This record gives sequence, structure tokens and C-alpha cells, in this order.
Amino acid sequence: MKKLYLIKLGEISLKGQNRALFENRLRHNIKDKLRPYHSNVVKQKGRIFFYIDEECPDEVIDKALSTTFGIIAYAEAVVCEKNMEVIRSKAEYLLKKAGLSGKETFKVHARREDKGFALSSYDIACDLADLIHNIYPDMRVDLTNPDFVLNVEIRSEAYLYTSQKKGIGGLPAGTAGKGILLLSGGIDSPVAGFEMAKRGVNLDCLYFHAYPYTSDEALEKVKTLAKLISPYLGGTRLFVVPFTQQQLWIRDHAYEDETTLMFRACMMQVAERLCKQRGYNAIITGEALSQVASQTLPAMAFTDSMTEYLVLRPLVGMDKEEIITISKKIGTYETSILPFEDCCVIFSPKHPVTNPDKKLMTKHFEKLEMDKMLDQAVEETQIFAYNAKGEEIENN
Amino acid sequence: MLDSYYFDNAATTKISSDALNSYIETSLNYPGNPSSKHTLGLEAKKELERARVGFSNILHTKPEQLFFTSGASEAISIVISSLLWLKRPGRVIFSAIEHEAVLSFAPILKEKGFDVVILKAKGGYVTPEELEGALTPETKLVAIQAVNNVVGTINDIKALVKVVRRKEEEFKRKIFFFSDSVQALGKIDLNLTDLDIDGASFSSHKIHGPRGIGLLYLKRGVIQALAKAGGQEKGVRGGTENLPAIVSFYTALKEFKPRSNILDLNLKLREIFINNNIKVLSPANNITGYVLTITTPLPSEVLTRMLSDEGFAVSSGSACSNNAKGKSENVILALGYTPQDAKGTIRISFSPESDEKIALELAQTIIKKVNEFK
Repeated sequence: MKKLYLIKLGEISLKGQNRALFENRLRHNIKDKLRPYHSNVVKQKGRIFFYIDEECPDEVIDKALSTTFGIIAYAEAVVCEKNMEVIRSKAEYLLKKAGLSGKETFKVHARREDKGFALSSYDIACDLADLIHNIYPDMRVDLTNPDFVLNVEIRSEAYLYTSQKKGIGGLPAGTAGKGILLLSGGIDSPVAGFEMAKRGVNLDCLYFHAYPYTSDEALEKVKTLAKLISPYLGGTRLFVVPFTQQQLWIRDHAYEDETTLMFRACMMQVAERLCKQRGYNAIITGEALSQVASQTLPAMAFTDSMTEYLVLRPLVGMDKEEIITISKKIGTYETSILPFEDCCVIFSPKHPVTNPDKKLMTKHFEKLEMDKMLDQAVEETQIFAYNAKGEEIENN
Repeated sequence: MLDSYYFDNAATTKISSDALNSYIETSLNYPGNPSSKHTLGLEAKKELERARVGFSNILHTKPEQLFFTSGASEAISIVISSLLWLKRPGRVIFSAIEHEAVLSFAPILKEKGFDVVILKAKGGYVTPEELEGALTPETKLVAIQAVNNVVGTINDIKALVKVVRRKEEEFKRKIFFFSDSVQALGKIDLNLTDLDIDGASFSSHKIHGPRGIGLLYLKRGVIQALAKAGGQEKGVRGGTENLPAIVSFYTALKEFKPRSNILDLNLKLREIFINNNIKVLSPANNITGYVLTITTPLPSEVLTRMLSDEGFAVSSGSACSNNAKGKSENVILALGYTPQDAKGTIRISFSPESDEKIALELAQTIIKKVNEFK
């Protein structure tokens, strides 16, 4: 036996000729999260009908569907023959299963995609409302804010469902190219990853580790963050780039007030090397305008100029509070606020430059002659991999 | 990590084999609950009281003045939280360099209407004058530690108690003098009766005993604890007595032989650091010698990790961050040192067994790491 889930697609259903591409990706992303349970998918206009082994626990399915981009809502459904007698008996079954007290308000929402079906959606709704009323005479109709909703969709077959859960919308991860996310241990960057994955970008993550100036606990924290956002990303890899020698070099050779910008420049150049090596289309950061000294417009203009690649900052116009709200929603907040810093205090200048001159800064950066050091950092990168379920896996 | 490279004995120590054996033997030989009335229970009770008498002989108290707790933190908590029974709050005096187990009560007491006065304890010592200035007729409790855990300074508890007793006479009111003595146990002579304090706390795991066991001394032999639980330990600390740990703690204390030349080792290292331009925060006088605290330009967490990679275990005073404050950072500031000093604090703490050669190796490694960084 299999359980059936009706999955509603948002923006995907508006797609034209390339819709199949999005639907197929979504199908792949869902199935990927629910392995090893066997599942199969039937696509119909604006819907995916998803059948899965009955043994698969509800919470596993819930976790999978509620973290997959491309789904605006989903519900466990029952399917039956397009015959009002049969539909009524299924409706009765769902009614009993809902455990109502009989005092609730209700609504029947009918949808007739198969225009060949004899009754109109209004007729179907009235028919089933009668049925509910016969069973629970005290239940009253409320079309705007009902306690209980019975949904019926007449398609190739009839589908009935009651409780519908909200999905996270967006487009399936992997339909909008690949990007590399600069993941620190903070609140912002996991949210930035979430926001880009929402638009379908496939993401890997990049972290700069300056042991012993940053601790292994800080690295563990970043690994946990990668693991936590991995379900939204449809799986991800974490590149850990050793950054100690580079940071010390900058500390010793750059102007103190420019050190943060020089670190940022290095990070962009390392990200660029990975883009070239591994075919990413963009670099994504969690920067929000004016949050810290390196996130002013002139500072961002300078770090942008350090790479030929597109730099995307999905949080640039967001307030900290907005970012925190999302980070709590996606479950990264509690990890992000653990007190293991991703940058040691000795590398933070007392008065960092906030209005850098791009040309001058570029000249200063070139003078540091860090090309070889950055090549070496990339060579020594450690890679950790996480699957779409958020489990650490062997990196292949 | 080799035991001999362990220099974080003020944090905790490894249980000694004798203490461990005594734990195992007591567990096997005395399986009964000391509150039970059958033979096994009575035997366990007898063993419990034997240990209590043993402790009282070493600490110069009466057995009925000692109560077993889960550790010093609990002992402290029993005493300070008992103030919450008072119908009228009054003044409470803590030194600024008390352990968090004491200082964490300051905001609670303030909220309950107490006037909490924190004595500066500059350099690591509370002076009788400083204490005297703070005592008022409303004062209910004074808590001053015997030996500081961050820099190893010894307070002159006897002199401080005298001030309190004099004031008691003047005010015609009792003032409870409590002294957290965790870092003093086994390391300095402790005659609790002679010190004339009202309460003291001790911990087993700092002297090679097991974790999870401590001792509370109460001169008057009773206190109204916040919770009585099962009424064990005369209602001062409820809960089934942890007999194996108690006996093992007693074994550890009997065995703990203070090291006669600990001060020499401390002063030797001190000189090496000073000669190499490393600032020493622990004073040279009135110290136990078991603790030597320095500060370097490297953030303490970073140097701790560097030393750990070389096999050494020391304690870092603060966190490598602008936002997070390390546990002992406030104490370092209270001692009168700068925030910069507090950021680079490293505490080296010895046990009687510490190897001098390896301690010197540690000092050289610290100097090397600091010089590389400059």
C-alpha cells in the first residue's frame, strides 16, 4: 500500500514550455529526500500526486515536503473513482478521521478540472455539504474562516483531502544554475543561502578557517549550519579553506585599518578560483548594507571588483530583525548564536575603513602579492558533503 | 595528552588510583542506603559517619558541622539561597573575585531587595579596612574566598573574620562569614574552628578525588536550606548520600600531600616569564604557589589551542571574541588589570605531582609562541 500526497505547485505552474524541466527537478528533489522509501509521482496540471510506501513515517514526509522549494502547499489525500457515491463514502471516511466535535464551522472546496464530470464544482460542494450536515447537524458553513475544510478535486480521478500544510514556495533547487555561498558562523549567511536556493540556485558553501586563531568549535558550528540548510539546498558541499597564513600575512603587511577589506578581497578571490574550477555561476554572500564596516556601498564595490564573477547579496536591503526572523524559521538561529567566533579579535582593526577608494585599495591589495598563497589555500581545501536529508555523507 | 603535560589542576584533577579504588571498594562493600534500617543500610551509615569524623579531624571541626554536597557550587548555593527565607532583606557582601557560584547570586539577591556590596579585592586580596567600611548593622552575610582560583592569592581570612566579629559586638547582630575554600583545601593549613568562620565550601575533584562530591562546613551545625528533599544531612542537603564518592573524597584528602617546593617552582617560572617580557598577574607573595597566571598579547583562547597542539593543557581566561566574555575576565578586571591583560590571560595550575622540567618546557613553549606572534 502507498500513501498519497497532493502537492500544489506555485510559480512552476506559470512556466511555459520549460515547465517539465522544473517539475522533473522538483520530482527528483522530493524523491531524493525520501530514499530509501519507494515513491512514484504522477504529474497533472498544477499538481503533483506523490505516492510513497506506507511505512514511511509522516514526520519524515513532512520534513521533506516542508523543506523543498517549488511546493506552495501539500496534503495527504485519498483517491477514488469519479462517482458521487464513492466520493461521498470517502468524504465520510475523512470526516470521521478528522475527529470533529460536531460544533465546528466548515467549508467544502470543490474543483472540477475534468469538465466532463456531470456535476459542477458548486453542485459537488453542495452535495458534500449536505452529507456533512447530515452527520453533524450542528456544524455551520463558514466560507471565510472555517475550522474544517473538505477539498475535492475532480481530475482523471477524484481526490479528497482535509488538512493542507503550507510549503515554502520558490523554485526547485537546481533549476537556476550553481553558486558558491560564503558561509560564516553568523546569522546572515545561512539565510542568504536559503534565499538563493528559493530561486532555484544549487549551492555549495565556502568557509575560511584560521586555526588556531579560530577554534575547531567554530568549524563544527559552520558544519552544523551547512547540515541545517542542506535540505533546503537539496544537498550541499562545504569547502573549508585554511586561512591562517593568509590572515597573518595581511596582519603583518597591510595597513591596519584596511585589513578587513583585504581579508574580504582574499575571500572573493578564493571563491573565484572555486568558480573557475567547479563551474559556479555566482558568488553569494550574506552581506546587508551598512551592517558592519566591510558592508558599506564603497566597501562592497571594492570587494565586487576583486572578482569577474557575479556577486549576489540577497540580504542587502534587509534589516537584522528580518534576517533573524527567517533564520529562526529555517532553524539556523540557535546554532548561529553559539559563541564561537569565525574571526579572531586580533584580526579586527580598531577603526576599519568604511569609505575605501577602490583604486587605492586595489593597488594595496596587489602589493600584498597573495596569488600564490591563495592558490595554496584552495589546494589545501577540505571538503565535507551533506545530502538533501541533512546527513553528512562521503564526498565523491 | 600525557598527564605530566597537564597544567590545569585548578580546573580539575585526575582521580588518584587510591581514591578510585576506594570508590570501587565502597560501592561493592557498602551497597545499602544509609537511611535504610537493615544491616546493609546501617553499615553504610556507619561508613558515612566514619568518613565524616575523618574529615572533621583534618579540618579541625566537629563531625556534626560537616555536610556532604554534590560539590562546592551546591554548598555555596545552600548557604546563599538560605538568605531568601529572611523576611527582611539586608546587606550582603561579596568580594569581586569570588567564583561565579557566589557572584551569580548577586542579581537574584538584588532582585529580592538585598543590598549587594562587591568589595574590590585589588591585587587579589580583601583588606580588613575595605571589609570594615562595608559592614553595616543590616549586614547578613559576607562571602570571601580563602584562595582565589584565578591568581592563587591567599586571603587573610582570620583577620577578616576578626573584623566581622568586632562589628557584630558593636551592632549586637550576627553576621554569617562564609569562605569558599575550594582552592585552599590540601594546599594551605585549614583549622576551621580557629578561623572562626561560619561556613565554608570544599570540592573533591580539585584534589584528585572524584567529581560530584563536595563538603559544606557550618559552624552552628544547621541552616535552613531552601529545599529539604528527603531530609538527609539533617535537611541541609537532601538526597541519598553518595557514599562511594564521600569515602573516595576522604581517601584523596588523606593522601593529598602538599608540595613543599611549590613556591620555588612558581617563582622560578615567574622569573622566566618576567625576563622574557611576559606579564605575570599572580603576585609573588601570599600565594599558594599552585596557580601562576600570566597575560600575553595572544588572545588566551588562541594560545591555549596552540599549547594544546603541543600537548600542554592550561586554562584560557577569556574567549577569542569581542562579544563573548570569558569566565575569569571579570575577575582579572576586578584585580585591577586592563581589559587588554584580561584578553590574554593564561592560568597555569600545578598539582603536587607536576614535573618541574616539563613546567619549564611549558614556559619556554609559551615564550616561543608569543615571540613568533609579535
